[in-house]
Amino acid sequence: MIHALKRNVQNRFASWLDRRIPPSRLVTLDQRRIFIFPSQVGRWFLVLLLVMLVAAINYQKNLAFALVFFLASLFVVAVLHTFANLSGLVVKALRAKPVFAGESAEFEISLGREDNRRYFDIQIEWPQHKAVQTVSLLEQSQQRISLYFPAQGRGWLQPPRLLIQTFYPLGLLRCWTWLALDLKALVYPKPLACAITDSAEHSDDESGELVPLSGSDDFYQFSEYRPGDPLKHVYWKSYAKQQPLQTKQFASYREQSLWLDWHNFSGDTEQRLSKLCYWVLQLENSSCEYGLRLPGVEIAPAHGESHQSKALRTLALYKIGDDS
Amino acid sequence: MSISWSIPRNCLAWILLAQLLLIAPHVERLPWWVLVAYVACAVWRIMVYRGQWSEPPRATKFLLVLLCLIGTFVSYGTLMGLEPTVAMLFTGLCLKLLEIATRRDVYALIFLAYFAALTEFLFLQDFSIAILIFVTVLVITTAMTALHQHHYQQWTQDSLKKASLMMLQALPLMLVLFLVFPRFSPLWEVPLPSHQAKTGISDTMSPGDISSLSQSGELAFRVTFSGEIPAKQAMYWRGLVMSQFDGRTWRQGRLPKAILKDDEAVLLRRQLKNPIRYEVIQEPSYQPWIFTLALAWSDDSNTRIVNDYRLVHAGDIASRIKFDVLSDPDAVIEKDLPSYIRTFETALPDNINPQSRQFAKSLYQQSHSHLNFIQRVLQHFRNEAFFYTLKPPLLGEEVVDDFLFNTRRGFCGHYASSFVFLMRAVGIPARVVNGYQGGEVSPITGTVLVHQFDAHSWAEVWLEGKGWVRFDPTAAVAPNRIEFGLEQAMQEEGSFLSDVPLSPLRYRDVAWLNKLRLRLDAFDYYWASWVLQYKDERQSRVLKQLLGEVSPWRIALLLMGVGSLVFALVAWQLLKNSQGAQVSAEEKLYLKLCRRLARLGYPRQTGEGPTDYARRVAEQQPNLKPSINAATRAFITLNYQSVGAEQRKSLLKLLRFEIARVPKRI
Repeated sequence: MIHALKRNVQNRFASWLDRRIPPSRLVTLDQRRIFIFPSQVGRWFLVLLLVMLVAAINYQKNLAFALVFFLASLFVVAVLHTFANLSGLVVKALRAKPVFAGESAEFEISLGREDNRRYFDIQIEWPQHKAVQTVSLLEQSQQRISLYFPAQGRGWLQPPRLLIQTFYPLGLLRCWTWLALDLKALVYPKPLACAITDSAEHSDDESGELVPLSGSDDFYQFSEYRPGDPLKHVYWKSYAKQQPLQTKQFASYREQSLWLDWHNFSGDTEQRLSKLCYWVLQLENSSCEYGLRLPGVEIAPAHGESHQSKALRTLALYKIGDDS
Repeated sequence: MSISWSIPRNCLAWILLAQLLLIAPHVERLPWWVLVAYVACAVWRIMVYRGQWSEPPRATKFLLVLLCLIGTFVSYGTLMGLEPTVAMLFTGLCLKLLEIATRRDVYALIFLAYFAALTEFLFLQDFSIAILIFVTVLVITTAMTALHQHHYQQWTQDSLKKASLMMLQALPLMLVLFLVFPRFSPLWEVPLPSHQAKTGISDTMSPGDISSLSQSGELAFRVTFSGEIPAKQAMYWRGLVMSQFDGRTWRQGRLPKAILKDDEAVLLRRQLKNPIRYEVIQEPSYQPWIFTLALAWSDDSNTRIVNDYRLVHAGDIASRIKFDVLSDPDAVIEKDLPSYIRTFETALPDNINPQSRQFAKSLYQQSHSHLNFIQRVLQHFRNEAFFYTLKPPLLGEEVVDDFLFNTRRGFCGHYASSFVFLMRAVGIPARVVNGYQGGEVSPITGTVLVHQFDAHSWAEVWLEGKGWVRFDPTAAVAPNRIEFGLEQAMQEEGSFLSDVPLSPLRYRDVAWLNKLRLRLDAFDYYWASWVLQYKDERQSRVLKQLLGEVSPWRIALLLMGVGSLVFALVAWQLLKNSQGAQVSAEEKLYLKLCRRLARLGYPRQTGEGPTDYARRVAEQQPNLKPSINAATRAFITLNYQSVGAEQRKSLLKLLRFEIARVPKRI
């Protein structure tokens, strides 16, 4: 009962927060988004003031009264100072890097300011995870920070609201905001090592195709020089004849171009995806071209970084849908 | 907080300074070993901070706490009472230095320090102390700020500046709270300062007592008359009545606190036909005596009227107190003398001072009335070779005989004592009264300053129909003492405040110095009466002037008014710069584009990058495609690539131009 009530309150608070501080890429903190309340230390400070007030009353010392009132006024003034240490802060969501499930996704954000006010001791954290980042903006008007959030399952990872809080200058007040970053990290399935079955390995095209491939020793063709081409392959003779710089390309017959087929892997959906993910990574490291065949999705065999990310993305979002 | 948390260097420095400032004014009150503990703990903490020593082990800390407890007990003989408590608070404050493992420990230390700052006011409330304590509080607050400015590796004044600013901003609200907060009566009994030397007149009088007091230039009390200030000769401040004599020492004799009952006090008040009103501000004497003109009456809740018609305070006066008094010098004191009191006031030990008794009897036989006898005795003092001196010779066994017939050199105590002895020797009720005589009128405040050297001793004789009448044998010997004060009377002897060569009171003839002294005293007076004694009647008077009428409603209004005014001013000062977000020009322009497209029905979805957004809108509104694409490309270049100033300028122009081409509505 109480549990349900608590959840109800939390849900209401969450939806209220969503209305009040909607997810955004660029947030300037202002009074609409900032909450402030005495911190635990501040509440003890109030207890201390009470004790001091009793001492002042019992000893009838006017200066003791003055001291108590002074500290109480200090507390009141500190409200504004603490608030000012968060207000005007500009939080920008920069980017999130893709990550494999089970690892921590890195979210990059930047903290900036609207003017030249200095900000001290701002703590940024996901309260679910204890790692706290502390930022001060003094000379530099912007600071990038990386936050990490553990990625559990594949798909899009939208981290919970980020807690940005400060206790500066006296620690008596806690000023905070719950910021929803409009930032999602793509989480690939967790690679799962497995053997590949024979039938999966070979593509239908037994003969294979000719692919330019460095490291082979059969000359294939000339191509225009691109920076980064190995110098020993540069065709100096043509260069000497005042022709544009050319590179010799060598080729070999690729043994096979692989299809990674859903049906060739065992296990439930997630296991299959994990195994496929493993093989995508393996094959990317080899010289093979590989294609991906999932129920309803097919990616033609290719090789390279963009091909790999395409394949991984497909695996990550399989049956989840790409709502980005 | 990680395990390796260590207190910020600057914070530690401020804390050590704050502790030093806290201990300084307490130093004469605290046992010496507290200072040793402070130095030891501070050194240890510094060495730990520098990584040269390790944190003290738990057993050591425990041992130190135990040692300090034992030390307190040994020093004071008890753990109860104000001074032992304060000593323990300060040792706690020092020992806490050994245990700063987390931020929480620092907060605990700082809170202890705030409380320790308060304790000084329980003993002293001088202006200079107040300044010192508020500077200390500033340093403590600075330490707290430095705790949060932990990124500074170097020494910086930033924390001090921040704390000073906050304290300045806190000042107005503090003043209002001070003005309006009701001064409740104590909630429960608290231990008062005890280890204080009593000052001023004591409750016994032996020959020479008062003359030692006359070497002190300290202020005993101040008096503010609401009407005219009485003549100096008429200002006899009665404090103690001595009725019992053992041959050497005078004592009060009867229960000092035989307090008049309420109805008796009312009767007494009726006796004052034409009273003069005044206010006494008594300096702390750690004794209960109050000094007033005869015949005094007060309705102050802390004063009592004793049955020998003087006022006493309910407890020892440990801090400056103020009370209103009514006095009527013409009122008759104790018109009817009950026989048991007559016996009491004429009692003398048998067989002492035979020579004096003999002298009194023969003189009495020549007199035709009591009054005549008294006049003859005074005549004797006046005509014979009696000297008034602060350096009287020592007296033998028979004190009065030796004085009257041998040394003949003495101070007021000698004359009063001998005079009363002569009276009692012939059966006339008489007693010694101790108090102060005269005083200095401050030209600045118009108050009468009564110093310790104004201490005086005189006699009261009971006469039929007139009650207790004051006689001052000293006046017969040294009329200057009464008329002009001690300094005049001692001019020849040069013994006025001779033990305190630096007392400013000695240099009253140096005009500027005297002026300065009186100025300082005036400030002290206003400080005492307006700040330290701001309560009850004075408070309600001020509030009435301020608010017109004292009601919780108006007080709340005043508090809110000043509070919100301060709040608004501070907020304005803190936040004034934050108007107009410092979003870059291209971001502003791009957001404008987004707003415009949103109005056309294509809001940018959360998480949608500029390129995706442009593509989506362009698909649905092909006629906008060129503008949107151009604008988006320009924005991306501006925002994500480093471009030269020239290029930036032209790109911004392009961006602006393309946005303008997007229609506001379709």
